[in-house]
Amino acid sequence: MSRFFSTTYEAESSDEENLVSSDEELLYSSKESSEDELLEEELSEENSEEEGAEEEGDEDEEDDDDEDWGSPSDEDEEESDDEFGGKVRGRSYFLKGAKAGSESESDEESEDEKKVVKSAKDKYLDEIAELVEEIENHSMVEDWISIGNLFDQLLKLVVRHPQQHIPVPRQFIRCLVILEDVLAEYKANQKDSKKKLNATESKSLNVIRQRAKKSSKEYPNELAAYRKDADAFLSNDGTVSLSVTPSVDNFNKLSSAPTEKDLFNALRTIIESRGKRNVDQKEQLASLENFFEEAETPYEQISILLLQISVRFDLYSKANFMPPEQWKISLGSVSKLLDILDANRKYVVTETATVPDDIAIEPKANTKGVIEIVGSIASFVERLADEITSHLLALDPHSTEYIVRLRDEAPLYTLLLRSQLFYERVVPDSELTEPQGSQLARVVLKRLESIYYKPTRLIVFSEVNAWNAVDIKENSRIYPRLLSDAGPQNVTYTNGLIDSLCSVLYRQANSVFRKRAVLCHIYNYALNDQYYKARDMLLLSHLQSSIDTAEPQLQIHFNRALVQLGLSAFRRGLIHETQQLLQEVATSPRQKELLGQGVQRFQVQQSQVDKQRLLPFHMHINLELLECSFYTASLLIEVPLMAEYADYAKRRQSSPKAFRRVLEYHERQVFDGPPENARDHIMLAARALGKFDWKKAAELLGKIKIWELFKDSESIKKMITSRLQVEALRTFVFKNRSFFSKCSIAVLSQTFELEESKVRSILAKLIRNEDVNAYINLKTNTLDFVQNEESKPNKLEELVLTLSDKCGQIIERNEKLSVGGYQIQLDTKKLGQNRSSQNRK
Amino acid sequence: MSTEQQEFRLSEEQLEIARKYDLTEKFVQFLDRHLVYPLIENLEFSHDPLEVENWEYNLLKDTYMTKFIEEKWLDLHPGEPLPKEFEEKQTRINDELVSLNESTKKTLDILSSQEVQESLKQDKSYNRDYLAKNHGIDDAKIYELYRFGKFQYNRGDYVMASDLLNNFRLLSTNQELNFSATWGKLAAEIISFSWSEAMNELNKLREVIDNRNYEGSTLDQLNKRTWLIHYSLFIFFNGNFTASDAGIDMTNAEDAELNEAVAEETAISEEANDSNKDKNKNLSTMIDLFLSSSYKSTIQASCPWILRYVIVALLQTQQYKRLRDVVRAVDVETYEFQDPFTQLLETLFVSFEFDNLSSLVEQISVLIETDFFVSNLDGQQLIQNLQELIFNTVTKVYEGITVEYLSKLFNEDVSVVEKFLEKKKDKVTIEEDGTILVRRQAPASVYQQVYEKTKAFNFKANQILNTAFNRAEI
Repeated sequence: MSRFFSTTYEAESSDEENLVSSDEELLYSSKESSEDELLEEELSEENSEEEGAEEEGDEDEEDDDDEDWGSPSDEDEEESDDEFGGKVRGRSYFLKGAKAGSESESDEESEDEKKVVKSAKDKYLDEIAELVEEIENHSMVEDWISIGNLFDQLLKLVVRHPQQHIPVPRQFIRCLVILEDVLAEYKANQKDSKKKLNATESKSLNVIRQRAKKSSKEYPNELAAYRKDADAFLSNDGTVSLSVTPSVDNFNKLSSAPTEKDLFNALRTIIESRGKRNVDQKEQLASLENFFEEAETPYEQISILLLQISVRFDLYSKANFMPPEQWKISLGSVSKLLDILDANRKYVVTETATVPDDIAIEPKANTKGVIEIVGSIASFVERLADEITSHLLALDPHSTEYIVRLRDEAPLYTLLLRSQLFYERVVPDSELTEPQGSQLARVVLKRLESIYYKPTRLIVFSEVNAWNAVDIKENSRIYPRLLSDAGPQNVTYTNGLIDSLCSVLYRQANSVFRKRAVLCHIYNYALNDQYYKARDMLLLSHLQSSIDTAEPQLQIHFNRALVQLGLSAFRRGLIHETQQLLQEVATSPRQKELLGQGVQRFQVQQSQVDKQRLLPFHMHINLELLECSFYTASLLIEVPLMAEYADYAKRRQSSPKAFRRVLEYHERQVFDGPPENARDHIMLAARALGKFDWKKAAELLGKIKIWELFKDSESIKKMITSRLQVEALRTFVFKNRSFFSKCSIAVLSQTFELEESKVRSILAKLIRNEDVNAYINLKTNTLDFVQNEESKPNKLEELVLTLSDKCGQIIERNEKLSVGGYQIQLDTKKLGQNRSSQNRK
Repeated sequence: MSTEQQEFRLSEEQLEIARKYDLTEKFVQFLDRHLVYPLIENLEFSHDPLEVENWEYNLLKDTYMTKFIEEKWLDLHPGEPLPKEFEEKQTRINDELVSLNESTKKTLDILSSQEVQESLKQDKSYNRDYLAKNHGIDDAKIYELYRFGKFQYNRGDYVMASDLLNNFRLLSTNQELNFSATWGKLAAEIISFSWSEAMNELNKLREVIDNRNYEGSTLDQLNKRTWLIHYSLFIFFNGNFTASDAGIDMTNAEDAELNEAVAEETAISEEANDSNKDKNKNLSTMIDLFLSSSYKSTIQASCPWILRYVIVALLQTQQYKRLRDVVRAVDVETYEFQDPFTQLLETLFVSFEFDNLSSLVEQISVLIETDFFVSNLDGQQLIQNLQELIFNTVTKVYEGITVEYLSKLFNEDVSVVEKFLEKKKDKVTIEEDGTILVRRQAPASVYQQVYEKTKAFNFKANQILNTAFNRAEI
């Protein structure tokens, strides 16, 4: 409000006392000489505000006068006259105020006030003052034990000062100074008089000494200020003077002053009552609503809205979720807040603003001409997003209610976009990695998290909606507005969008942002069939190495990305990769848990934290699809392998057993029923493939309905069929290699419906890799098997071969170690010396 | 093999291939502009000469090689007078040259004086103190050496630049500047064909970059490695430059002072007459470097096109077995980079679709002639090795192949194939109908197999131990 005071106040806290005294000074003078009434009013107005900013109990009478205006309910009979008069005749109020100010030294006045219900802050300050008083008393007699106890209490109280939205209580500083003095004195005296303290006394003395030292280190400025100003304060003869030249600006605001006072007092009460029991928050909300209607300046509106939103959130902090109606109101409030901020560009709401001593004073504009107000739009938006998620979790995903609720994501997304634009405006590029930038990053992360799992179409849709809601002139620095003529399948747009959102997050210092972003990025690429990009990103992120120690939520993210990548590999027909990627999750008995899609096993109690990890239904990855893809991939890999090695079970120790186990279980069944679920289909297909009947296998796999969930299910079925043909051929060769001597390639090509050249290339691969001892005879167009009984090693020879292989591996590993790994350090000292001398060279 | 000859030989199609698989564009971002010059010059035969000249001009117009730039400009704009800015630039550069020359002259004189030479020691800080105390050479003076070196390099006086940078490095303790001075020296040495010097610089850089406590970020390290890989190709492939090579003309035209360089170059070309051994040795070093895990992943991550040179080197040095190591990388990078060389590997080791071979071989033979680096090698030898590799693979799988079939694969005349088979008389017999019979080795007995597998163990173990001890002793 008053420019002059807020500057001085913020600039140098050490001037506080000075200011107060000078204020009182002025007050006196204004009473005495009323040459210019306007000026006088202005001054007293400023004064009263200044007083309001004061924390100390004895200065609070002004405050309470103000309070009277706003809340007639808590005031005394006798004061009501004043209040009434004040309302009618503003000036006389100030005169009265001035009078009161002049009398403020008297105790009776403050006595009066104690009848008035005290605010928590006052109470708090009073308590501190009392304690300090006692400490002072005890310190006179050097009663260390009681001082110790009292000081402990005091310290406990003092740490709570941020809760009251005030700086360090000055009484506490005073206490520190007193203690310091006493301790110093005692030390000095101790040398002379060797008065012994008993054990407990000396112990508590030491404790006090340490604590006092520690606390004084925390507040060096305040201490210095006190030491300097205490004298000035005490020797207050009216010599201190500060010239005040009130500006016209201040005068203009005068008219709205009364309601404002009123309003901020109410706000203050609400702030103080936050987090307390037996507070009717609904009533508070209602009153805030009324205030908002009356509020005139943007600052007032912003302050009210900030509080209103927080209180509304508080109201449902205990509940599982916020009811949709309330949620919508909150959403409305936040967007109203953004409206106001957009309309009044010089106001900025940020977490990094300094906490004001008194909310009633509008903070002064900083060097850039921007007025910073404490608050966090990022938190509001995050909270809104979290609330909708928890509500969705509570709903039955198959109900219409769920879908209705899901529609609320659209306005939320608009809000996310708007707040991102707001922060983009506020946060300069250079500060992106600073704390201020992290607010932007949080909003961006939320935006990213609300789109990364969606198909392009949906993203474009929500983008269009969101941008339509934003003023046409606005545009984003991070990623430009979506032009309306873009088609619904604009992959380049969404890719670009996600790339640029992520790149903002990658620049953040906090690794959580980066990790989340990269996982979302991978997920999205995988979803859009950009397998290689996603895979490279995953490899470059090196997340695999550290994910085990990450927090569960991140692990879930990671698993989701991994699974999505696996599915993407499957769609591309990269069978080996699919198996590798999906194996861990698909074979785990705790699939659901790993993907954050529910708890697999029956858990007695589900903690809040467990619930938070869960994802709402619409984000889920279809588990059946996952399993189906994994088992199909395994089928294509394992069936030929089983044919290749008769002693497959023993040999392939390292290969995943999941598939084999399921297959064996299936084979043990006495009766083969017609296949019912996807797994049945796959197992029957595996058996068919084992008999080289690729047609049947393809038919069985094609019957699985879940493939329809893939975008292009027909081509996937085709891919599976062609893979089946190849694998069937391989299985055939493996199974029959010991029985046949020749095999016509033409026949093979007919049986497996593959081109001859393709057959040849498959066979060539087998031969080249020495899986089959044979060669292709070009003349006769046959595959000639070499049956050489003698060359088959016997048991002992086989063992020897294995042993020599293993030895070779050990040596190879050792080589690798010696090249890049750890070296024997025979003499570390010598080594160090040599190294340094080498550096010099 | 001068460029004119190639122009004659290459058909339109072949030019197409050469253009399609040209890597110059990729290289530009990882080389100094002075080093890019020979690459671009090499494009002359496959692109419009005027266009190439234009590129050359654009490439070098920001350097201080004014004479050269002027010439190029005149070539591009025949009949037009030189724009004024050239003159201004010339005078500006001359001024700077004079001023830098003067300011460093004293320092250099002092450094070269007998007395100073004798009193300098290994200890850098001691040297600095000594010079500062007795001769008034302070950090600023030393830094001037760096600036002058950079300036000379920009002017195209590479020998001088390399000298200056060397002096600077001896005195400066600023790690960062030393590092970039080393880069500068490496480039200068490469352009002036002092390969062994360049190799030294390369190793120095590697020491810094591969240091486990490398100071920069991982990304930075990756980038530095990429640069290093690209720079090193010059050294490894050009171990013996032929005199007619393009690069030297440029430097000659630019600077008459380069007499030394020319002398050096003739010396080198004499060396060039040595057998392929040196070249192969170079390439083997390169293979070892590029296939070491950190460089292999660098190649995969940031410059898959280098795979071409790895493959070529392996072919040239006949290390067929190691090709398999590359196959994996080639396979992984298929989606990012493909050229006839990688496709060859795919065909021979992954897909076995031999029908593609003939066209691949044709493309490869074009690239062998046109690629800036590969063309320095013995193309004939390379093709022969390639044929050998194909022959080995095909005969392993197929029985009863005919000479015609082989000639198709080799993309050569039957007579060539026959000559080729002639050399393999002990293994191969050709029947009357043209079928080739290859004597197959019976699978080795188990004893033999075990012996083969284990015979190197002792040696290897000793080697490991030795390296371990050596490291400890360093």
